[in-house]
Amino acid sequence: MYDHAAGHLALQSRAITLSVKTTGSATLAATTSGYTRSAGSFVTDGFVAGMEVKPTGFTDTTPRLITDVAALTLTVDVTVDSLSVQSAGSGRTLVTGLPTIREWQNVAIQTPVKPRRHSIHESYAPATQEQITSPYDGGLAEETGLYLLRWEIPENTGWLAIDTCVNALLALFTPGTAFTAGSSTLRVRGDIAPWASGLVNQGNGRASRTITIPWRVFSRTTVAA
Amino acid sequence: MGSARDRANGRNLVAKHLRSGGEVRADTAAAFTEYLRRFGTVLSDRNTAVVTSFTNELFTSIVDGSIVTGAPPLPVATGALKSSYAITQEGPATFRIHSSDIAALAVEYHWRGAKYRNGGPHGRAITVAGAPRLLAMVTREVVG
Repeated sequence: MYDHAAGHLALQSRAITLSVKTTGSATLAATTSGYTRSAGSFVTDGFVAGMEVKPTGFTDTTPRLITDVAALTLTVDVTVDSLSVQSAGSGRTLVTGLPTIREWQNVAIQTPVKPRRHSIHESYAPATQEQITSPYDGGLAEETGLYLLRWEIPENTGWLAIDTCVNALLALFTPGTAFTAGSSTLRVRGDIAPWASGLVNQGNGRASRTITIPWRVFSRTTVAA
Repeated sequence: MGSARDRANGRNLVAKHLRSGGEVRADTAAAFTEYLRRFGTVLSDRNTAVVTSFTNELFTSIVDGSIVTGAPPLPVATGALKSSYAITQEGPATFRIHSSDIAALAVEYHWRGAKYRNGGPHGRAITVAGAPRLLAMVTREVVG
Protein backbone atom coordinates (compact mmCIF):
# COMPACT_ATOMS: atom_id res chain seq x y z
CA MET A 1 0.00 0.00 0.00
CA TYR A 2 1.14 3.53 -0.75
CA ASP A 3 2.18 5.45 2.35
CA HIS A 4 0.58 8.89 2.01
CA ALA A 5 2.50 10.30 4.95
CA ALA A 6 5.81 9.28 3.38
CA GLY A 7 4.79 10.67 0.01
CA HIS A 8 3.63 13.95 1.49
CA LEU A 9 6.84 14.29 3.48
CA ALA A 10 8.99 13.52 0.42
CA LEU A 11 7.29 16.22 -1.65
CA GLN A 12 7.54 18.73 1.18
CA SER A 13 11.22 17.93 1.77
CA ARG A 14 11.93 18.51 -1.91
CA ALA A 15 10.26 21.92 -1.85
CA ILE A 16 12.30 22.95 1.18
CA THR A 17 15.54 22.43 -0.78
CA LEU A 18 14.61 25.23 -3.19
CA SER A 19 17.37 27.73 -3.92
CA VAL A 20 16.29 30.34 -6.42
CA LYS A 21 19.28 32.69 -6.25
CA THR A 22 22.32 32.83 -4.00
CA THR A 23 25.51 34.79 -3.54
CA GLY A 24 27.28 31.61 -2.52
CA SER A 25 29.82 32.02 0.26
CA ALA A 26 30.99 35.62 -0.02
CA THR A 27 32.37 38.57 1.90
CA LEU A 28 29.35 40.70 2.74
CA ALA A 29 28.45 43.55 5.06
CA ALA A 30 25.12 44.76 6.43
CA THR A 31 24.04 48.41 6.54
CA THR A 32 20.87 49.97 7.91
CA SER A 33 19.26 49.66 4.48
CA GLY A 34 20.66 46.44 3.07
CA TYR A 35 23.77 44.51 2.18
CA THR A 36 26.99 45.46 0.42
CA ARG A 37 29.92 43.69 -1.15
CA SER A 38 33.23 44.87 -2.63
CA ALA A 39 33.59 42.08 -5.20
CA GLY A 40 31.14 40.12 -7.33
CA SER A 41 27.68 41.36 -8.27
CA PHE A 42 24.19 40.95 -6.86
CA VAL A 43 22.89 41.66 -10.37
CA THR A 44 24.95 38.86 -11.87
CA ASP A 45 23.82 36.54 -9.07
CA GLY A 46 20.28 37.06 -10.38
CA PHE A 47 18.59 38.89 -7.53
CA VAL A 48 15.72 41.18 -8.51
CA ALA A 49 13.50 43.56 -6.58
CA GLY A 50 10.52 41.77 -5.07
CA MET A 51 12.42 38.64 -4.04
CA GLU A 52 12.86 37.80 -0.40
CA VAL A 53 16.43 37.21 0.74
CA LYS A 54 17.57 35.25 3.76
CA PRO A 55 21.00 36.05 5.21
CA THR A 56 23.25 33.49 6.86
CA GLY A 57 26.49 34.17 8.72
CA PHE A 58 25.15 37.50 10.01
CA THR A 59 24.00 38.28 13.53
CA ASP A 60 20.61 39.29 12.13
CA THR A 61 19.24 36.51 9.90
CA THR A 62 15.70 37.84 9.41
CA PRO A 63 14.58 37.43 5.77
CA ARG A 64 13.67 40.68 4.05
CA LEU A 65 12.08 41.88 0.85
CA ILE A 66 14.51 43.21 -1.77
CA THR A 67 13.56 46.70 -2.94
CA ASP A 68 16.50 47.51 -5.22
CA VAL A 69 19.45 45.69 -6.72
CA ALA A 70 22.79 47.13 -7.83
CA ALA A 71 26.05 45.32 -8.47
CA LEU A 72 27.52 46.03 -5.03
CA THR A 73 24.42 46.99 -3.06
CA LEU A 74 21.28 45.07 -2.22
CA THR A 75 18.61 47.32 -0.72
CA VAL A 76 15.97 45.63 1.43
CA ASP A 77 12.74 46.63 3.14
CA VAL A 78 13.43 47.75 6.72
CA THR A 79 10.11 49.43 7.41
CA VAL A 80 9.00 46.63 9.75
CA ASP A 81 12.22 45.05 11.00
CA SER A 82 15.25 47.34 11.26
CA LEU A 83 18.55 45.86 10.06
CA SER A 84 21.58 45.63 12.32
CA VAL A 85 24.79 47.11 10.89
CA GLN A 86 27.61 44.61 10.58
CA SER A 87 31.03 45.13 9.02
CA ALA A 88 32.24 42.97 6.16
CA GLY A 89 32.91 39.36 6.92
CA SER A 90 33.61 36.28 4.86
CA GLY A 91 31.68 33.01 4.69
CA ARG A 92 28.30 34.77 4.51
CA THR A 93 25.48 34.10 2.10
CA LEU A 94 22.30 35.70 0.90
CA VAL A 95 19.79 33.22 -0.48
CA THR A 96 16.38 33.44 -2.06
CA GLY A 97 14.70 30.13 -1.40
CA LEU A 98 11.37 28.79 -0.20
CA PRO A 99 9.82 31.51 2.00
CA THR A 100 10.45 30.91 5.68
CA ILE A 101 6.86 31.82 6.57
CA ARG A 102 5.34 28.44 5.83
CA GLU A 103 1.82 27.20 6.31
CA TRP A 104 1.98 23.43 6.12
CA GLN A 105 -1.31 21.63 5.77
CA ASN A 106 -3.39 21.72 8.94
CA VAL A 107 -0.48 23.11 10.94
CA ALA A 108 -0.77 26.49 12.62
CA ILE A 109 1.42 28.89 10.67
CA GLN A 110 4.83 29.22 12.38
CA THR A 111 5.15 32.95 11.85
CA PRO A 112 2.14 35.15 11.16
CA VAL A 113 2.05 36.35 7.56
CA LYS A 114 3.61 39.80 7.43
CA PRO A 115 2.63 42.43 4.86
CA ARG A 116 6.18 42.85 3.52
CA ARG A 117 7.19 39.20 3.46
CA HIS A 118 6.72 36.21 1.17
CA SER A 119 4.87 33.15 2.42
CA ILE A 120 4.17 29.61 1.20
CA HIS A 121 0.98 27.62 1.78
CA GLU A 122 0.73 23.90 1.18
CA SER A 123 -2.02 21.43 0.24
CA TYR A 124 -1.71 17.69 -0.30
CA ALA A 125 -4.73 16.32 -2.13
CA PRO A 126 -5.08 12.59 -2.88
CA ALA A 127 -7.54 12.13 -5.74
CA THR A 128 -7.99 8.67 -7.28
CA GLN A 129 -7.13 5.06 -6.61
CA GLU A 130 -7.66 2.22 -9.06
CA GLN A 131 -6.85 -1.47 -8.91
CA ILE A 132 -5.28 -2.09 -12.32
CA THR A 133 -4.12 -5.71 -12.11
CA SER A 134 -5.46 -8.76 -10.33
CA PRO A 135 -5.56 -10.36 -7.82
CA TYR A 136 -6.96 -7.93 -5.30
CA ASP A 137 -4.45 -9.15 -2.76
CA GLY A 138 -1.04 -8.39 -4.21
CA GLY A 139 -2.27 -6.76 -7.40
CA LEU A 140 -1.12 -3.41 -8.63
CA ALA A 141 -2.95 -0.25 -7.65
CA GLU A 142 -2.53 3.18 -9.16
CA GLU A 143 -3.05 6.26 -7.01
CA THR A 144 -2.97 9.85 -8.16
CA GLY A 145 -3.22 13.19 -6.46
CA LEU A 146 -1.90 16.70 -6.31
CA TYR A 147 0.66 18.59 -4.28
CA LEU A 148 -0.07 22.30 -4.30
CA LEU A 149 2.03 25.20 -3.13
CA ARG A 150 0.61 28.71 -3.13
CA TRP A 151 3.38 31.31 -3.12
CA GLU A 152 2.22 34.65 -1.75
CA ILE A 153 4.02 37.96 -2.16
CA PRO A 154 3.13 41.52 -1.20
CA GLU A 155 1.07 43.37 -3.79
CA ASN A 156 2.83 45.91 -5.99
CA THR A 157 6.12 44.03 -6.07
CA GLY A 158 5.91 43.22 -9.77
CA TRP A 159 5.95 39.92 -11.59
CA LEU A 160 9.63 39.25 -12.25
CA ALA A 161 10.50 38.09 -8.75
CA ILE A 162 7.53 35.74 -8.31
CA ASP A 163 7.87 34.36 -11.84
CA THR A 164 11.55 33.60 -11.24
CA CYS A 165 10.75 31.89 -7.94
CA VAL A 166 7.91 29.84 -9.44
CA ASN A 167 10.09 28.72 -12.35
CA ALA A 168 12.74 27.52 -9.92
CA LEU A 169 10.15 25.63 -7.89
CA LEU A 170 8.69 23.97 -10.99
CA ALA A 171 12.22 22.91 -11.95
CA LEU A 172 12.34 20.81 -8.76
CA PHE A 173 9.27 18.87 -9.89
CA THR A 174 9.81 18.16 -13.57
CA PRO A 175 7.80 15.26 -15.04
CA GLY A 176 9.25 11.90 -14.07
CA THR A 177 10.94 13.16 -10.91
CA ALA A 178 10.84 10.22 -8.50
CA PHE A 179 10.49 10.20 -4.72
CA THR A 180 10.80 7.29 -2.35
CA ALA A 181 7.57 7.01 -0.38
CA GLY A 182 7.88 4.06 1.96
CA SER A 183 8.06 0.95 -0.20
CA SER A 184 6.61 2.76 -3.21
CA THR A 185 7.94 5.29 -5.69
CA LEU A 186 5.98 8.48 -6.20
CA ARG A 187 6.52 10.13 -9.57
CA VAL A 188 5.61 13.54 -10.90
CA ARG A 189 3.18 12.95 -13.76
CA GLY A 190 4.03 13.74 -17.35
CA ASP A 191 0.66 13.22 -19.05
CA ILE A 192 -0.66 16.06 -16.91
CA ALA A 193 2.56 17.84 -15.99
CA PRO A 194 3.02 20.40 -13.21
CA TRP A 195 1.74 23.87 -13.92
CA ALA A 196 1.51 27.26 -12.25
CA SER A 197 -1.46 29.57 -12.12
CA GLY A 198 -1.28 33.15 -13.26
CA LEU A 199 -0.54 35.86 -10.73
CA VAL A 200 -3.71 36.59 -8.78
CA ASN A 201 -4.19 39.73 -6.72
CA GLN A 202 -6.09 38.46 -3.71
CA GLY A 203 -7.48 41.84 -2.69
CA ASN A 204 -5.97 41.66 0.79
CA GLY A 205 -2.61 43.22 0.06
CA ARG A 206 -1.26 39.91 -1.20
CA ALA A 207 -0.78 38.42 -4.65
CA SER A 208 -0.12 34.75 -5.32
CA ARG A 209 0.68 32.04 -7.82
CA THR A 210 -0.28 28.44 -7.15
CA ILE A 211 1.98 25.62 -8.30
CA THR A 212 0.13 22.37 -8.93
CA ILE A 213 2.13 19.15 -9.03
CA PRO A 214 0.19 16.06 -10.17
CA TRP A 215 1.70 12.81 -8.91
CA ARG A 216 1.17 9.10 -9.48
CA VAL A 217 2.11 6.05 -7.43
CA PHE A 218 1.92 2.36 -8.29
CA SER A 219 1.82 0.04 -5.30
CA ARG A 220 0.88 -3.49 -4.35
CA THR A 221 -2.42 -3.80 -2.55
CA THR A 222 -2.80 -5.80 0.62
CA VAL A 223 -6.18 -7.20 1.59
CA ALA A 224 -6.47 -7.32 5.37
CA ALA A 225 -7.15 -10.79 6.75
CA MET B 1 -5.43 14.34 -49.25
CA GLY B 2 -2.85 11.60 -49.31
CA SER B 3 0.80 12.07 -50.12
CA ALA B 4 2.12 12.12 -53.69
CA ARG B 5 3.35 8.58 -53.13
CA ASP B 6 -0.12 7.45 -51.97
CA ARG B 7 -1.76 8.98 -55.01
CA ALA B 8 0.79 7.38 -57.32
CA ASN B 9 0.21 4.02 -55.67
CA GLY B 10 -3.56 4.46 -56.15
CA ARG B 11 -3.12 5.22 -59.88
CA ASN B 12 -0.86 2.21 -60.26
CA LEU B 13 -3.43 -0.08 -58.64
CA VAL B 14 -6.23 1.20 -60.91
CA ALA B 15 -3.99 0.84 -64.00
CA LYS B 16 -3.09 -2.70 -62.99
CA HIS B 17 -6.76 -3.52 -62.41
CA LEU B 18 -7.71 -2.21 -65.88
CA ARG B 19 -4.78 -3.97 -67.62
CA SER B 20 -5.95 -7.25 -66.20
CA GLY B 21 -9.37 -6.76 -67.81
CA GLY B 22 -11.11 -5.34 -64.80
CA GLU B 23 -13.51 -2.43 -64.86
CA VAL B 24 -14.60 0.25 -62.44
CA ARG B 25 -18.38 0.11 -62.06
CA ALA B 26 -20.09 3.45 -61.58
CA ASP B 27 -22.65 2.07 -59.13
CA THR B 28 -19.89 0.54 -56.98
CA ALA B 29 -18.01 3.84 -56.87
CA ALA B 30 -21.19 5.70 -55.96
CA ALA B 31 -22.01 3.21 -53.23
CA PHE B 32 -18.51 3.51 -51.82
CA THR B 33 -18.76 7.30 -51.85
CA GLU B 34 -22.07 7.11 -50.00
CA TYR B 35 -20.54 4.67 -47.52
CA LEU B 36 -17.70 7.11 -46.84
CA ARG B 37 -20.18 9.97 -46.44
CA ARG B 38 -22.25 8.03 -43.90
CA PHE B 39 -19.09 6.91 -42.10
CA GLY B 40 -17.99 10.54 -41.88
CA THR B 41 -21.37 11.50 -40.41
CA VAL B 42 -21.10 8.77 -37.77
CA LEU B 43 -17.60 9.94 -36.82
CA SER B 44 -18.71 13.56 -36.66
CA ASP B 45 -21.72 12.70 -34.48
CA ARG B 46 -19.57 10.63 -32.15
CA ASN B 47 -16.99 13.39 -31.94
CA THR B 48 -19.70 15.90 -31.01
CA ALA B 49 -21.13 13.52 -28.44
CA VAL B 50 -17.70 12.92 -26.86
CA VAL B 51 -16.86 16.63 -26.70
CA THR B 52 -20.27 17.56 -25.27
CA SER B 53 -20.33 14.75 -22.72
CA PHE B 54 -16.72 15.38 -21.74
CA THR B 55 -17.46 19.08 -21.14
CA ASN B 56 -20.51 18.22 -19.05
CA GLU B 57 -18.51 15.70 -17.00
CA LEU B 58 -15.75 18.28 -16.41
CA PHE B 59 -18.36 20.78 -15.27
CA THR B 60 -19.97 18.25 -12.94
CA SER B 61 -16.58 17.28 -11.51
CA ILE B 62 -15.68 20.90 -10.74
CA VAL B 63 -19.07 21.85 -9.31
CA ASP B 64 -20.48 18.68 -7.76
CA GLY B 65 -17.35 16.57 -7.40
CA SER B 66 -16.58 13.28 -9.13
CA ILE B 67 -15.63 9.80 -8.07
CA VAL B 68 -13.76 9.47 -11.37
CA THR B 69 -11.44 12.44 -10.85
CA GLY B 70 -11.57 12.50 -7.05
CA ALA B 71 -12.53 16.18 -7.06
CA PRO B 72 -14.54 17.37 -4.05
CA PRO B 73 -17.77 19.28 -4.61
CA LEU B 74 -17.78 23.03 -4.17
CA PRO B 75 -18.67 24.03 -0.61
CA VAL B 76 -22.22 25.26 -0.20
CA ALA B 77 -23.29 28.02 2.16
CA THR B 78 -25.89 29.91 0.16
CA GLY B 79 -25.51 28.09 -3.15
CA ALA B 80 -24.29 31.27 -4.86
CA LEU B 81 -20.88 29.83 -5.69
CA LYS B 82 -22.29 26.71 -7.31
CA SER B 83 -24.85 28.62 -9.32
CA SER B 84 -22.17 31.07 -10.51
CA TYR B 85 -20.57 28.36 -12.63
CA ALA B 86 -21.59 28.08 -16.27
CA ILE B 87 -20.51 26.56 -19.59
CA THR B 88 -20.11 28.81 -22.62
CA GLN B 89 -19.58 27.37 -26.09
CA GLU B 90 -16.93 29.40 -27.88
CA GLY B 91 -16.44 27.31 -31.01
CA PRO B 92 -17.51 24.08 -32.69
CA ALA B 93 -15.50 22.04 -30.19
CA THR B 94 -14.43 24.71 -27.72
CA PHE B 95 -16.16 25.24 -24.42
CA ARG B 96 -15.28 27.46 -21.47
CA ILE B 97 -16.23 26.60 -17.90
CA HIS B 98 -16.25 29.74 -15.80
CA SER B 99 -17.52 31.39 -12.64
CA SER B 100 -18.60 34.95 -12.02
CA ASP B 101 -18.03 34.69 -8.26
CA ILE B 102 -14.74 35.99 -6.79
CA ALA B 103 -15.12 33.35 -4.08
CA ALA B 104 -14.33 30.75 -6.76
CA LEU B 105 -10.68 31.83 -6.69
CA ALA B 106 -10.51 31.75 -2.90
CA VAL B 107 -11.93 28.22 -2.82
CA GLU B 108 -9.92 26.89 -5.77
CA TYR B 109 -6.60 28.21 -4.44
CA HIS B 110 -7.51 27.64 -0.80
CA TRP B 111 -6.75 31.19 0.31
CA ARG B 112 -6.34 31.75 4.01
CA GLY B 113 -9.69 32.09 5.71
CA ALA B 114 -11.53 29.76 3.33
CA LYS B 115 -13.56 27.28 5.37
CA TYR B 116 -15.25 24.10 4.25
CA ARG B 117 -18.02 22.60 6.30
CA ASN B 118 -18.86 20.68 3.17
CA GLY B 119 -17.05 20.39 -0.15
CA GLY B 120 -13.41 21.32 -0.57
CA PRO B 121 -10.75 23.26 -2.45
CA HIS B 122 -8.74 22.56 -5.62
CA GLY B 123 -11.71 21.02 -7.47
CA ARG B 124 -10.63 22.51 -10.80
CA ALA B 125 -7.00 21.39 -10.46
CA ILE B 126 -8.02 17.88 -9.42
CA THR B 127 -10.45 17.76 -12.35
CA VAL B 128 -7.71 18.78 -14.78
CA ALA B 129 -5.41 16.10 -13.38
CA GLY B 130 -8.20 13.52 -13.68
CA ALA B 131 -9.34 14.62 -17.13
CA PRO B 132 -7.77 11.64 -18.95
CA ARG B 133 -9.86 9.28 -16.80
CA LEU B 134 -13.00 11.27 -17.53
CA LEU B 135 -12.27 11.28 -21.26
CA ALA B 136 -11.70 7.53 -21.25
CA MET B 137 -14.99 6.97 -19.44
CA VAL B 138 -16.95 9.27 -21.76
CA THR B 139 -15.41 7.70 -24.86
CA ARG B 140 -16.33 4.21 -23.66
CA GLU B 141 -19.90 5.36 -23.03
CA VAL B 142 -20.28 7.07 -26.40
CA VAL B 143 -18.45 4.61 -28.62
CA GLY B 144 -19.43 1.52 -26.68
